[in-house]
Amino acid sequence: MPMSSDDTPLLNLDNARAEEQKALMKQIQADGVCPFCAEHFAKYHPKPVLKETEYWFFTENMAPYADTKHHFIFVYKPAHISMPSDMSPGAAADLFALVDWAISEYHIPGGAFFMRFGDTRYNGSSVQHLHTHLLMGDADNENHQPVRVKLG
Amino acid sequence: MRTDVVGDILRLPSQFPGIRELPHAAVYLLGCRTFDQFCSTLRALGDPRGFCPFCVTELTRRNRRPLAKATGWMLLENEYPHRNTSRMLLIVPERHVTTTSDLNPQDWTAIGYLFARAGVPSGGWMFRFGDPRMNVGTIPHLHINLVEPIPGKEYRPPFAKNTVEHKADYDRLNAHIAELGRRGGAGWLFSADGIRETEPSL
Repeated sequence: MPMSSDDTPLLNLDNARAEEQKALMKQIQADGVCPFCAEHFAKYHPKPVLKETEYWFFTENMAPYADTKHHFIFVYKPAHISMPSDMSPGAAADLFALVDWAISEYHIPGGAFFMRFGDTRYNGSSVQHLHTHLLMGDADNENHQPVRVKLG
Repeated sequence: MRTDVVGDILRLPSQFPGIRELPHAAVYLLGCRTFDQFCSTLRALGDPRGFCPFCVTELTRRNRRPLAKATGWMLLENEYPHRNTSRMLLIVPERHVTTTSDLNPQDWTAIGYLFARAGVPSGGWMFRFGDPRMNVGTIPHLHINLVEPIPGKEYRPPFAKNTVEHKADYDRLNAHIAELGRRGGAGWLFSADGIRETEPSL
């Protein structure tokens, strides 16, 4: 299994949600790369990049949580990191300018933003490379189910 | 204003009217698991300047000390941690802001500093924004939740609930409201006894 420099796995299939996602992750594991690193992102991420800044790709999650009306991810571009404390100066401000843009662009009246960090064996993430989520449930759908995110 | 908000809550219908029909204050209160949390939150909603748990007046009154500080920001213990977590911390601005669009680059530097000071090796951080009917929010004052999970234990914070869960939360809210009524309503809620008996202790 491909590992990062600190011996934590680049991908964690145990935390994948959809069969399509797992199949893609197995292929990526065989290729031995990180799918979120900038040089590989376009090849492996099946959704188009909706907006790009110096520090982030903004795109849809390929396996959105069930019953979300919107589920976007922001993927860190400059390097392969797993901790927000390793971000370049300016990346955080850039991220939240992009978040504000996305909230306005997609008319998101309320939602949640979260980021997992560290070892995927402990945080519920399927990809170790730093990325964040912006999501909104579908409260207007009478039959929608709860949206609960795995953290741990 | 105090009595307006509290009065609105005390007059809520007994049957769940639907999440869209509830005032924002009631939506914030849906997430209160205990009576103490309900009372603290209702005081904060009724009188944010006096009782917002993250604003200086309430922090000073309760002698609640931050674990760390950075320019205009604090690292606090979460007073209502979930049992499936090892640690739950909060990164909170000293000023009463409710949206990230009010933040500036210096704020992000302070947040990064406090994140590093917290020393959580693996986990997640998250915040809710906007209309609480869409995100299960509990406090308007912006706060970033920093969570260290327990290895092997799953923690699943809710970011949206369905009607069944909302109804269950609403029943619990009605129980809190009934208890408040028995103790004396708004007058008791803001009295010295009411505050002392229901403020959280760490």
